[in-house]
Amino acid sequence: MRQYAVRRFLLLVPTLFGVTLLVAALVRLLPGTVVDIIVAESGGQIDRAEVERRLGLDRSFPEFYADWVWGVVRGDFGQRFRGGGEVLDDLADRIPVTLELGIFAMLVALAIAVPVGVLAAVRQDSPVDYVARSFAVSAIALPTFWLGTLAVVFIPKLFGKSLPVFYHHFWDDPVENLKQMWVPAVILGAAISGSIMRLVRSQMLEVLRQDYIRTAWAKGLRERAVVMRHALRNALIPIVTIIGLQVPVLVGGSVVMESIFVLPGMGRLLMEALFMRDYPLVLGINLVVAAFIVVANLVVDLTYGYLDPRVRMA
Amino acid sequence: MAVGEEVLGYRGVTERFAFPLLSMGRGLWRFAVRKPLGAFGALIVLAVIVIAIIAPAVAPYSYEQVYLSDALKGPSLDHFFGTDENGRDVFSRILYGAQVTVIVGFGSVALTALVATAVGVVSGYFGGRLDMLVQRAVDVWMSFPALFLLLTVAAILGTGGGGILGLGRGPDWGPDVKGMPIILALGLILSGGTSRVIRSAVLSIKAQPFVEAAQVLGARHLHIIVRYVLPNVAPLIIVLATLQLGVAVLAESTISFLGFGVPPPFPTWGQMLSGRARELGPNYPWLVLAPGGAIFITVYGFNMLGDALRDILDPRLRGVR
Repeated sequence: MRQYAVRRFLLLVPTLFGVTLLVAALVRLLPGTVVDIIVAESGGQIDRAEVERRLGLDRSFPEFYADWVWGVVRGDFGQRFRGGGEVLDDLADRIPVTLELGIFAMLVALAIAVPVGVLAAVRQDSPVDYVARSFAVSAIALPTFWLGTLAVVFIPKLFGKSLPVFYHHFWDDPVENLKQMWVPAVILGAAISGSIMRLVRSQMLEVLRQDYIRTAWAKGLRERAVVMRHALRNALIPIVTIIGLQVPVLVGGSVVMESIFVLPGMGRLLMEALFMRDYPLVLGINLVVAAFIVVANLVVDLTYGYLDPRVRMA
Repeated sequence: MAVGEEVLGYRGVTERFAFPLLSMGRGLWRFAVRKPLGAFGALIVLAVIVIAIIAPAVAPYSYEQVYLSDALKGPSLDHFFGTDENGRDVFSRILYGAQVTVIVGFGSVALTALVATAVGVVSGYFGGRLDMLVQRAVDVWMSFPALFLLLTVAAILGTGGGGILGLGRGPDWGPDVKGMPIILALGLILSGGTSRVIRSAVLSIKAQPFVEAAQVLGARHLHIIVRYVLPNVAPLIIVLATLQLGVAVLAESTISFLGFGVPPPFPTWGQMLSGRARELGPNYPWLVLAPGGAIFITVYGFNMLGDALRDILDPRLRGVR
């Protein structure tokens, strides 16, 4: 178990190298570099070579990359190409927003998926089951950006209230913050609840056919006790895995939600950085997101092993 | 091994090749009876493909010609889905948009199938150290932050002509291969996880007696792979590919929505939802409803077909997605 954890942890290193190397290599291929923009903006006032030198673009790629990695190891993510400022400050500023959105969305997804999935399994092939399954199938096929757009377009029309535009940090003004967060969180949560619900349902169906469930029925336990205490607890174990699998989906969905609902999170930051071709920022964001996904998956897998001792970690 | 055989009523490989038309017709009929939703999905898929092919012939208007006097007209017999702020016919633009959906969807899934099969078969068949190395690489591959990476790649490779912001020196892929960079990026990113599923199938096939028999008879590796392994993973590959079509279509439309897809004026469904559609939406809802509905119906159709194929060809895959 410990060996497995250590090995998984070591996997972090090549993953992060792979992601950043790929992004760094691609970033150097950017059509139309930031230099062109800066020179064009200055109206030819600034010298091309001067800009390149200041941004470190005059160096070879290996040199540039090695420098960047060494910086990251020392906790220095470099400076933004545009407007100066530390990349690390930007990241620290934006991460909490995305994290809050992701956690809320996951809670919403579980709050929908678990009860509905259990009910659908217990009442298999009943109308409840059909409605639940249709919901799941639709949720999987609905594009989150469309749902978000529909919300932005039709909520003000239907309820006569416009959605808030200026972002309030949670610790500054929790009420305003939640007012702003709940719509994107519910949409994102509903979108991922479809696949989680399908898994809860199929897991429950499988568990409900086990011998120990028949024993529980035979003992004369009430349905509530059989379903909640004996079946659900065992069915939930694989759900932990799908939470891990949904983390990248959540992270991706946050880009969409943040750009529709004007939330200053990592996704918006990536969009800005890409449009500005701000290399250090693009690199930093991809590094942080990759690290987050790997660590989240590691935590999930280790939890799985803890919850279900039958799983042998090889 | 081929799980689908008895369910579909096939008796064996020989018959399948001996009477392809007959068994195909029979198979399709049984499929439609057993899986009405899957057949419905197949119809949607077929319709989208046909629309993509015949769009230039049947679209009533051009996708780019601006008629400002016709701007923001509601749905009517002249304009089934109304017009946008430039007076362009939304219905025609949806028809043309299907081209990007189909090309990017099928293109990236085909690439995924190719790469994932190559990686999965080689890794699973040869095993040993090679397998270990490849699987560690796949571990890394799978933990890439998909959408972030996809956006980065799409932005960097540009999407045809002028790159992003029109300033770029991006490669000009020509009008015929719309969304080539997205196909490459999407196809490669999706391959990692898929190759692992294929690898595990190859492992179980490799343990079958007929593979051992072939080895004892002195067959070469290439022969065994082509003759025995590939035909047995084929149903699995088809199922995985179909299931991924929906994922690919959603990903493409998301990238387009965020502004990194096939560049305007050529329409894509995701792109039609971005830009001014959001501010105009409250008063001109067709701008928002038509493209979103098109994406939803298409993805729904692909998913229904994929689920049905999975249930028939390889029920063990339930819950993979």
